Amino acid sequence: MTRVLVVEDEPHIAEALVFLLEREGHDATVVTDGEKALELLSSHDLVMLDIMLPGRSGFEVAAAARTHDKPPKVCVLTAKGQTADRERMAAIGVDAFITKPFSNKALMETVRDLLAAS
Amino acid sequence: MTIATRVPIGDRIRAQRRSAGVTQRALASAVGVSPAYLSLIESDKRQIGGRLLNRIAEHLGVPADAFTAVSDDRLAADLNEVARTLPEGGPQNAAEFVAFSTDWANLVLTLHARMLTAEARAYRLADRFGRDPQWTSFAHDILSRITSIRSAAEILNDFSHMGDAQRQRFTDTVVDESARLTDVARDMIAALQSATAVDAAGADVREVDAYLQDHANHFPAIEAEVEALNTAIPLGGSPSQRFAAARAAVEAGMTDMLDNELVGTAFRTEGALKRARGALSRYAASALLMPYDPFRDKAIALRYDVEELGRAFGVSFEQVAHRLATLARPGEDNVPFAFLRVDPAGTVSKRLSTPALRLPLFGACPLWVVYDAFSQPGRTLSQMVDLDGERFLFVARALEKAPRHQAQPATRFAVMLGVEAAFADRLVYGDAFVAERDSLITRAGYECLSCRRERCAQRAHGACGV
Repeated sequence: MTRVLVVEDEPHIAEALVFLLEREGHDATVVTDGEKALELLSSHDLVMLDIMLPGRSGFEVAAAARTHDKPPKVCVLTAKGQTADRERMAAIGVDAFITKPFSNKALMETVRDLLAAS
Repeated sequence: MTIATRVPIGDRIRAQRRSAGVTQRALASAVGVSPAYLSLIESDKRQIGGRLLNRIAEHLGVPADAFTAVSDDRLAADLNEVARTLPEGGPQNAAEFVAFSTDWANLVLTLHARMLTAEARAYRLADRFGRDPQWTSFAHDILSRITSIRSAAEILNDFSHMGDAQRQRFTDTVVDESARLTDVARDMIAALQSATAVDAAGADVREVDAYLQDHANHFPAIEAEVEALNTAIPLGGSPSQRFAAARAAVEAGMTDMLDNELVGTAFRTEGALKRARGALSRYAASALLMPYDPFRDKAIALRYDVEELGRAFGVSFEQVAHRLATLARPGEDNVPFAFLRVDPAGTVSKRLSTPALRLPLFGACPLWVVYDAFSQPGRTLSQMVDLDGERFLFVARALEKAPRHQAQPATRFAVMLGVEAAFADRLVYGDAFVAERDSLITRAGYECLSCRRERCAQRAHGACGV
């Protein structure tokens, strides 16, 4: 079973993500701050990551994820759609960058693609 | 550069003549010139002034100033200022344009003011959306709420087989997040409206500025009424306490008169009317503390030494400086002072221009001594500037006002008086520049947007459109 870490401080968005991921047979865990996310990175295959988080930012979490021996895939989900943020995440090496609001269908297609590639 | 702004008066003479039912030949004969010469005058091909103008006015039964108006000269000067901001340079015949139609001239200025307001608003909004935490928070909140609603709504639509409890949770999400989205939208609209209110206040300031300039910053009726009040504010107490007492005395004894002074004015908003009313009340209070004749006489005797005048009348540096800019009784040979007040961010919060020295509406040239004053509090600084070939003496001082509440910081301003260099020898501050040595002159502009001094090291940004 694929383990997905949802790093999202908006509870209703997190709840919808968990629902969608579990529907496709994944094991989803939710954390609401960057500090907790850093602790759990290594035990997950995919991280759905918001940028604006309490504690550590999404940039820090993404950068930390790249340092692992077997780095998880990282899919950024953010309301910060500016080019500068997108370029900064690309430089870190994230695998996907999706801006809010997104359609569930497009989001899950991206998740499938990422997991198929891993 | 100050451009000559005298409005041609030929059209006015012709209009007054026709309105009086007098032929060109008859008028020419009555005032002792040939009909051909009068025709040249009416076509603005000959300059006219002095005694001939008075004779024509007398014969047509109108006051001589019927052919000229201070407001027209101000209009032409304002149009020239607009032309100056164009990168390709504007037309030079503003005075003729005003003579052709003051309505059209006013329309051009109104449109220009609206353009400036729109530009400033666009800049502010762009700045806010990009950096202001309030607007970043609005944007983040709106997108988060919409994401929640959209995801939940799509789930409810796409997955018909789910438990009642789960269905209810997603339905609640749509309801809750819709309500939160409404709150965010309401807060954002309130913030936008407050931004619009600030813009409206800016337009009010310009209108009141124009009103004061049309009166050459001088109101004879108020001066007379203040004199008739026969009230004196005793010396003692701080300048601000004395000014507050003067305001109270003025409002107690002159309310109707001040209201009447504004009857017939055409302010476009209630805010502008209130601002003008406040300006007249402060004018009257200032006149009460510094009665015209004794103050003018003392000013001349002290060679316009602002600090000495402040001590003599128990008022502040700013109050003296502002009062000096209102000593403009017609027929008197007074020094025509312009007055400027700025805050440490450079924003102009008060300005009284003169025909010779048009002060900028927004920030002035950073080379002006008024900004140096902030770094030298407690000192009165002077500067001889060359603005596009015309020289002016500037006198400035930084001031600090005690806060109304202890928790607040003191407010800081700098005030400046400006006068044509030709009057410098009448001021104590002009003595330092008697030599007129080049090293004593600061070459500067009015403000960056209209300034052509491309190589200026202090330039904040290119001239408009450059």
